[in-house]
Amino acid sequence: MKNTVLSAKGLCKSFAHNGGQAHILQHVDFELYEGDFTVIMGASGSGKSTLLYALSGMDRATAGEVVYNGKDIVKMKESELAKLRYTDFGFIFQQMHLVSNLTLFENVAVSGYLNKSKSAAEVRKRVDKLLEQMSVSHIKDHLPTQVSGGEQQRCAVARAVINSPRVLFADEPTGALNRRNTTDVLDLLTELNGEGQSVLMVTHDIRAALRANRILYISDGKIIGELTLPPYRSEDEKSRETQVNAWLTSLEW
Amino acid sequence: MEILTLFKANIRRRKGSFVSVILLALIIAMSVTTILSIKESAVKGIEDANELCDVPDISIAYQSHRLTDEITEFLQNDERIERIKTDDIIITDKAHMKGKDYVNPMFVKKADENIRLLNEKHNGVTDGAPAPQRGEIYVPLGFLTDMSGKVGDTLTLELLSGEYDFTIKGVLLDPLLGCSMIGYKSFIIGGEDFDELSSAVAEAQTEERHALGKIVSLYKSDGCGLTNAKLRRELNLEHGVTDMAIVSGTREMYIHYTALLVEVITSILMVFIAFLLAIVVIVTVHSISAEIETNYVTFGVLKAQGFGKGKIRSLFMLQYLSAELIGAVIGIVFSVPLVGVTSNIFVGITAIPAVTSIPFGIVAAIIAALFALSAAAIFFVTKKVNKISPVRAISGAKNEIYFDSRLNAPISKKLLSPSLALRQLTTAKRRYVGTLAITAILMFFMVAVNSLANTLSSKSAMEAMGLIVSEVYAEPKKRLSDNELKDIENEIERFSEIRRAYYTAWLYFSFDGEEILATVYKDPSQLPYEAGRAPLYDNEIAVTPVIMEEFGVKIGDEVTIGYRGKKEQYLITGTTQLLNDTGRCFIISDEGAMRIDCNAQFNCNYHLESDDEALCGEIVTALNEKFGDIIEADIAEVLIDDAINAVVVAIRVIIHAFSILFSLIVVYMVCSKAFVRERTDIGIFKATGFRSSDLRRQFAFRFLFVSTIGAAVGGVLGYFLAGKTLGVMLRSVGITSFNAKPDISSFAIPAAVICLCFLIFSYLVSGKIKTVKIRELVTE
Repeated sequence: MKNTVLSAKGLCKSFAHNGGQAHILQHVDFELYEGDFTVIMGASGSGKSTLLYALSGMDRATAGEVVYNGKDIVKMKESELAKLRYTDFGFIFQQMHLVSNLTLFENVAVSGYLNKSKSAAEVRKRVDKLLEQMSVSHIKDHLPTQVSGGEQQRCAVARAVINSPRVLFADEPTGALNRRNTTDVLDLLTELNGEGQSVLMVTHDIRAALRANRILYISDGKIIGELTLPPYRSEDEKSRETQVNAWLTSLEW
Repeated sequence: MEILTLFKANIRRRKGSFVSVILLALIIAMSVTTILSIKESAVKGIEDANELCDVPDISIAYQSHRLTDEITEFLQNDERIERIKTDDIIITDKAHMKGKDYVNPMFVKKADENIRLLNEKHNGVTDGAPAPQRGEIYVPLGFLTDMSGKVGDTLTLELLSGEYDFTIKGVLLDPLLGCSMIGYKSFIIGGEDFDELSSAVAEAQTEERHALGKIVSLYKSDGCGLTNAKLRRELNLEHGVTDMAIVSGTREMYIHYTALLVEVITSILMVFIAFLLAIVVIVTVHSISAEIETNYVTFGVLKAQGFGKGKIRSLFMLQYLSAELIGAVIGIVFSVPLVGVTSNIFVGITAIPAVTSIPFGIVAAIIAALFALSAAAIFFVTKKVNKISPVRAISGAKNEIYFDSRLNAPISKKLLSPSLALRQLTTAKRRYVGTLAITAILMFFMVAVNSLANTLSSKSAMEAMGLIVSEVYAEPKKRLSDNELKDIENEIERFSEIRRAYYTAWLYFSFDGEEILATVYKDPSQLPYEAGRAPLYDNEIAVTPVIMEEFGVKIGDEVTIGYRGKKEQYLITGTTQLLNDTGRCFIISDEGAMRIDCNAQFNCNYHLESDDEALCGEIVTALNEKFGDIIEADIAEVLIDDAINAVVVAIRVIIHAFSILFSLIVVYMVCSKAFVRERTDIGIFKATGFRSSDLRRQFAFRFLFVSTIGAAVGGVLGYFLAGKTLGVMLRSVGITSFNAKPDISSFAIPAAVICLCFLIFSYLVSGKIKTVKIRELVTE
């Protein structure tokens, strides 16, 4: 029996649209388990990114609850959410979103500095280690504009895990990358998951989804399917792909 | 048409910038119109008053026995003069009211048909003016301002024959001597009183002391091609007409003195406004530059659709110039009622009601200059549009102009917000150069005006500028001998050390034929000399830079000095600054004055170690007790009177208030642009755990840094240039070398005001950060 890290109940999200309301999420129930690599898939506009942002507290749900550590993050104040972001949650965006006038090292370190439990020296040491792990230590003093998209995204991964979050959220982390960089970033996420990191990733890329041990399918704001897989091994990729493809086809992907 | 469509869309989308430019232009237009109108109204009031009171082209005051029949005959027969009017006067140099003394020469005249009075509000002139009844007197407003008096108060005149009390019945319109800038004053009393007093004074007169006189008013004939000043000089050269006078002046000279403070104050404010105008241009340039950067993609798309660079640049031109035009028009409209209310604010100084007048032509020219400057700046800054390539823009490759510096300032954990704020600055220095320049300009002006105020209240600064600083004053009743002066000093030193004893007399001498005020110093070496040296021998004088310029003389030149008919050649040995007669004066030693038979009766001013008023009072009492037969001692008057102090305070308030207002608008504009540019970064920071309040502090810190640097630059400029700038602006009052005395508070207060304004305003404006949602980072 796995531990639940994060759970959502009756989650709804609506936006004002053309004088009316567009209901993007409709009473979604969800649980994220400790150490899982969970992927949310769905067509464009299905609500997968909205769900990810609502679960991570980056955006507030219109109704329902998201419980983390026994607390409903929907009801949290901005300061509590901010603390959650630099202590327990890490986030990777599709477009990297590094601060353009900070070096790669600084982009990672700034997030680390927010965490009061570590000294500046400890943060710097961990940044160096992470950048080494992400294979970008040789360009750590470069500005984001001076490195490739893949290198930027690896740095973004390092930034997301600098405070050893319990949950790592990733929104299409390979969406803006070429094939080789995509593989590098996915390998990194798999490696982190292998070390026990819980990952919740949104993607519409089947190759990315193959890394997960649990795939949820969302359509019109509702989770309509779930597929459980054994932990990822590169040598099983072909058979995994066939299985996932078949499952997706059954859901009219 | 397509430009208009985009123009309308831009206005809708960027209301904030549009309104800010409108506001800046509005403030400039309103200030320019109001200040110029106040000046024009005051000048027009003075000119009208001159016409109304039939002011002569030249007026000369004589003691009766000095106005010889020969001079009168000469003037009556000169064809350059159309008519002459002669008024009898009683001369005195002491009056007091409400415990305050007035010790300048005063002429008491008999009422005639030309007198006019100011109405109760002092904003107009009454139709008629009845002659004062017995015991009543009319005095000019400048006198009431100096004496802090009002109609109904009792004025005591000390005449040669005794003291006489009068009730002030009305405020006299006197375009000649009425203003508070001129020490000489004339009063009007009724015919019976005048005749009675004249007889009493005539009886009291002795060979040495004369107190009856005449004012001769000369009206030039139409055929006389000379200016009034030239005619006065020629009359003197030909017949020593003014050599024998107490004082003489031309119509222009009195207009100059009457309008002097108005000119100085409005000039200082106009210089400040000119710099505000520069600030508007800097803000416009910054705003456009930021707009080009943030809308790089939009302009790329427009170019891809066939919009030429010319059209895009015209769009900017249209957008900003129309905002300025709207602001200018509203500003001028707003200023019309404001001028009505403020046009008369200088009446206490000029003593003449203003005639409201708005110089639309000059205002239009200044607004046109603002447009021309803005247009040139817009043309220059929109050159960036030429570089926008549709392909690069659409692919989002806008880094080339987005980041202009990569100078890394370290990011610290302990000072995370300030260090991130500093990084924002060091990596985008050029974006903040304009803000820095604006802060420096505002700071410079605040330092300058504070220096001005400090200097006016600093005895040492005033002394260094050639003014006589003293705590105890003694008016002699005769020419005092050296022994008598020594005895007086000894008596004073029983109470306090004397820092400096000044023995001076002010008399009008002819200087190459022109009547000029001479300051006779017992010891001319007491003055600070800008060049050359003090006049030590009896054939030497020193002059002010104003005299050097007006007469084209220099050190080493010889000039003719005359006094009551006796003339001698004198050598100019040095230059120094004196403020008497707005710098139109020269310095001569006692021996030098005696060479032309002038036995000056020295006024005694004592600058003491202690300025304790009680002690000074004791000294005055002791002096009057011991030397009452030869001097009349009193506590010295303050150097700067209330009217000038009030004006300096007003300038200080205006400049500080404008600086705060401009800080607000500039911060709003720059902060808004930075917010738009950094929206994504704000989202990223929020996603990594920064709170809105952290990011707002970061914004505030950034502007605090910029304003601190700007304040430092402005402070340094103020330290080195405030004195020079004030010297240029105050040249018309005779200050050619302004000894600026900025103290710590002159810098600290403006710096604190500027930095605090930037800190608070940027924190408030950055409240928009709360509206940034991390969701905006999502790429759908």
